[in-house]
Amino acid sequence: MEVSDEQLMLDYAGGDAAAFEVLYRKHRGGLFRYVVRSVREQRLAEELFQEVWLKVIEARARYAPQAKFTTWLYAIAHNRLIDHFRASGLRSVEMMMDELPDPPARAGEQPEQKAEVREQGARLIAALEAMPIVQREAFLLHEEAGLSVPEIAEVTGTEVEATKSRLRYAVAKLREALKD
Amino acid sequence: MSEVDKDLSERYRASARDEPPAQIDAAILAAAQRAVASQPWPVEAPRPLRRWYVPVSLAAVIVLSLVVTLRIQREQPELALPDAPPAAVREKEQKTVEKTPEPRAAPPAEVVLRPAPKSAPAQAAAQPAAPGFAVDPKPRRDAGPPPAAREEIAAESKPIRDAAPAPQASAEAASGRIAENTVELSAAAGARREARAMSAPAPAAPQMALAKRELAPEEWLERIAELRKQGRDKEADEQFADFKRRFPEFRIREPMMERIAPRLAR
Repeated sequence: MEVSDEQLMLDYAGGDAAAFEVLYRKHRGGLFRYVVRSVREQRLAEELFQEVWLKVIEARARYAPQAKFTTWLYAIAHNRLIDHFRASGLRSVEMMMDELPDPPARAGEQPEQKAEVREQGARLIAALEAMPIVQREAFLLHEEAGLSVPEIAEVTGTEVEATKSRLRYAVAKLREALKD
Repeated sequence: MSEVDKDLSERYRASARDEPPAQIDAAILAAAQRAVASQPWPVEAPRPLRRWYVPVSLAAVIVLSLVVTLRIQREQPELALPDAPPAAVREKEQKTVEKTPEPRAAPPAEVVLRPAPKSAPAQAAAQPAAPGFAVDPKPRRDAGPPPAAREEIAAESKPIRDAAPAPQASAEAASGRIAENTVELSAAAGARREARAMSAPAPAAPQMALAKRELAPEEWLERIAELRKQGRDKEADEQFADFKRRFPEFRIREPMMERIAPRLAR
């Protein structure tokens, strides 16, 4: 029988390092993509990703399974990202409203090469990275963390209706990008 | 209910395959192992005990609070040291003393410490050097200069008034009975000091340390906002950093964030 995430975290808090490894392997990909898509910069994403997990490790003694482990984990990541955006001088209004410029080129990828990319998946990712942070976040939490709309609302501290609306906008933009 | 259709979801998953580098994995797993290795026993108590922590702690806090409150309330009258009564009252009392036969024995310490009725003959007789002592329960702490009528007894009662800071001096200055009273008062003053210390507001740092342990996140944030408002940015920054360590997952609402966010980030 599969052990729940919450139980794994409790086991880790009790000193079982193997439980943490199971938990980490399960969530590393989704969380990393959530972070890397949010900040659109590989090196920075790695740093923030590591910090989030270190916070999880640090908070193990206080962990109480009142909500899904995933909700807790992504709430930590969300807060870390918000701190990062604020430290970058980005205000909440900008997070909500701004269509962002094209993301910086990935490591080993030249700007001219990027312009040549015509593959659908790349367009999808480009559209995702260009949309306002809050819409992108709603989509990523849905896709990468598997959270429902109310859970996304809980993680981001927004109303359910507002979350639903953000998600709809995000999906509409991605569909539009696929049509091009 | 799904806001994202399956097709879009699949296309996204097909194109989003980023994963953290292996060295990051290794670093995080090593940190996780180090954390539990450096702590050979479980972080928390065994689970059957854990669920009793909160109720037992709350009960202990309530009981302690009640005990302290009751003790302070019980000692309130003791805070009332005598002021000299008006001259007319003193005259009357002195007459009463003259008419009253000699008391059998010195009143016990408890009697001295409690407010006594004005006409208590035994006490009045037992304290001839300090008329009015233990007669008038008026608080000693009242502000303003004493009335002129009190001045003449001030010298006599001085040892008692100074009893708390210098009991030896009072013992030399007064009669044996007064010395006894002085010692008792000294003990009472010590108890009062303790009571006052317990009820007095603590310095800022311990207070915040307490806040860290016991306050709900919202209350803690309010305190940080208050520090920020007072311009105590360094303390606010430290508290905010502590808060984030303590509640990494806590979602701070935008209006509150505006009040507490570090200046640089605003």
